[in-house]
Amino acid sequence: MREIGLIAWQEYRRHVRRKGFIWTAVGVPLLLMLGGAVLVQVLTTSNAETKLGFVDQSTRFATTDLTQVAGRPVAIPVVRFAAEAAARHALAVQQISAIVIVRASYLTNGAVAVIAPRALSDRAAGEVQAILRQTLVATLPTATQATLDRPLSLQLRTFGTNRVIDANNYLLFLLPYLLALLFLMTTFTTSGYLLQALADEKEDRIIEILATTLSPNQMMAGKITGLSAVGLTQMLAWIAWAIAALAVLAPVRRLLANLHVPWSMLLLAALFFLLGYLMVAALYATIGAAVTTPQEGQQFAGPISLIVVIPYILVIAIVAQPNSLLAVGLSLFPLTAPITMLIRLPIATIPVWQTLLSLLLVAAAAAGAIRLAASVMRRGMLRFGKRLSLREILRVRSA
Amino acid sequence: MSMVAVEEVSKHFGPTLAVDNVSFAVEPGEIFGLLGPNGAGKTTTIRMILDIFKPDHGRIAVFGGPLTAAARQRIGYLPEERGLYKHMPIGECLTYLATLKGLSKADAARRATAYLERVGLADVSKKKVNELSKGMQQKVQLGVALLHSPDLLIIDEPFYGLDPVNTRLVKEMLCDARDRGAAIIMSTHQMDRVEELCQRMCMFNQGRIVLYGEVSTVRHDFAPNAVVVTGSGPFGTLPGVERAEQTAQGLELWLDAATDPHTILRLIATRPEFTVERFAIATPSLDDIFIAVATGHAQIERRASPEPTPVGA
Repeated sequence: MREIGLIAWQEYRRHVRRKGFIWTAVGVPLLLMLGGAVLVQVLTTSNAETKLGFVDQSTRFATTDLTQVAGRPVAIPVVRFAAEAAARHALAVQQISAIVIVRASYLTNGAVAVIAPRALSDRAAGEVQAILRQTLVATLPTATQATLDRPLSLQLRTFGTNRVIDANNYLLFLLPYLLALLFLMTTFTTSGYLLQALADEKEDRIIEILATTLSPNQMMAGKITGLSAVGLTQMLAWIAWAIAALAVLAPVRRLLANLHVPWSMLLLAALFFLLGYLMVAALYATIGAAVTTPQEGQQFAGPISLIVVIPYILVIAIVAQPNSLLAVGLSLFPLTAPITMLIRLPIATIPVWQTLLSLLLVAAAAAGAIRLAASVMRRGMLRFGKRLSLREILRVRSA
Repeated sequence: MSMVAVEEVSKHFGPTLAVDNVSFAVEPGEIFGLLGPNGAGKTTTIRMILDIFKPDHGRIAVFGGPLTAAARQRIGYLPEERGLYKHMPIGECLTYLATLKGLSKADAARRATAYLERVGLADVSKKKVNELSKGMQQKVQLGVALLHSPDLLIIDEPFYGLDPVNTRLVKEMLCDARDRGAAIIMSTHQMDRVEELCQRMCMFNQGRIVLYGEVSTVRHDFAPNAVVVTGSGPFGTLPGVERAEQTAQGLELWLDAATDPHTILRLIATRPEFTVERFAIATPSLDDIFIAVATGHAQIERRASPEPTPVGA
């Protein structure tokens, strides 16, 4: 156990200090955030009004409070002008950015004129609309006001399985994509590190010394543990960045506050995530132990990655029919099961037998893959300059 | 109890018989030489001792039993294929590998520092392995095998790439390990090192042990019926001398079957025309024996049977 801990810690230290890791965990998100911030800045400043002029020729809005809307302060200051000429002067001397003139015929034909150097922004138009609407509905009964506020009340149900989801909890529909993407990114990055670490050790010829100290199982367990911690660190770093980025965006913050994920689903998702990760990592380790160079390993890892990724390619079909034959079939094939189940879990009511069988198959595949990796390591670790053939790997498996 | 006991061990790789019914034992406090041409089965035997390969037949006991996790920690190994973490500073590399052998991190770091000082690498302890010369790498590699004071040390060509000063240093370290009771198995092609350091040896050829026992006994067993003399006089005309050859050591006199070195010595002593400065029984170097065994040429006449002698015989 001590040896496994030592290897795990050594692998962890070695990988988190690599430039590639720091770049992936810190550099890339930082760059994305900076890019996003610049984009938002450009979009919001190019068309932003600082102050609006308001001229009411209809007199219907003579007493309207222009500083409040829906119980909150208006996003853009609105200044009332008695006459259009005064407002035009203010616009000319750039005291205001635009003029909104409610024409005298407004109540019969809704005529509103806007005088501005460029088109009114959506934000400004929204605020003006809210101000006008507030005064127009003020005389109506409260129930009618509420109906006007939400003329269409939707009940959200999941595809295929008809599970009802709280209308405010619609972020749940995005979870399948997010979970699958997180699984793919974490698993393949970390498994790539594992493959690299094993192939490096073969290339460095250190493996024969390690083999006289540790059993292949200890070596493999230490490496998988250490590199899982690397993957977890990377995942946590991404999640932290995402939360930091989203937290500054008010609408997204409201969505997050409304996101309710059942604990049972989270637990199952975590199990599929972990077992799926172990399975892919062990398969990558098998390749790392069998090949002679990291480059050669990447070539052989390609087909495995492709199979694991299939559910992600078919994500739209699985989301549309989460209990279809295709979805069930992919859930029961160990290589495709983790992502398929991560997609199905948030949105579908899955029969218990399917969940249990899928979990069992993935667990069995993970255990088998770890055993295979250790056996291949035993056989392949001293094959410098010549990789193990598929036949030899299978012979190792059956031995 | 023998530190290593190999009994009737065989190993095939496909159709190739790499090791054929091999038996030998290594005792505490001895340096045991493993000799033989390339591909003779030495490395395969070492890897079977270390449980990297499983033997097809036979038994191997290390410290009196199977190679357990605890037993592994008492072994130091310098493999034929040298290997270190190339991108790790050498001090860190030594410390890490020693912690895997059961030392605490503090103890491992202390021993690594002391070792690097002893072998003159203290100044480069922060350098990475791939920044060092071949000789320096060899010393670091040997440090990996020695740092945890193993009870069994298995070393393959330990003097490879070393200059005479470092060769002497490594010999001292090996003798230190032997003197504290460790058993050392040394596989090498450098026969002079075996003659110098090993008490016992075995020689492999084509997967089999062809010589096994005390180094001095092996050399004696392979000695031809010949003497070496330096001095003056017509030595080649002495009765019982078949031929005389001048060698770097002196004149080598090959004797017929009816004559032994003592007879010739007595004869020379009674004849006034001879003066003798040096008289010795001709013994072959292990180099000669190695070449003779490896090539199968009977350049050296043997007095004794080439069959391996049992341990302690």
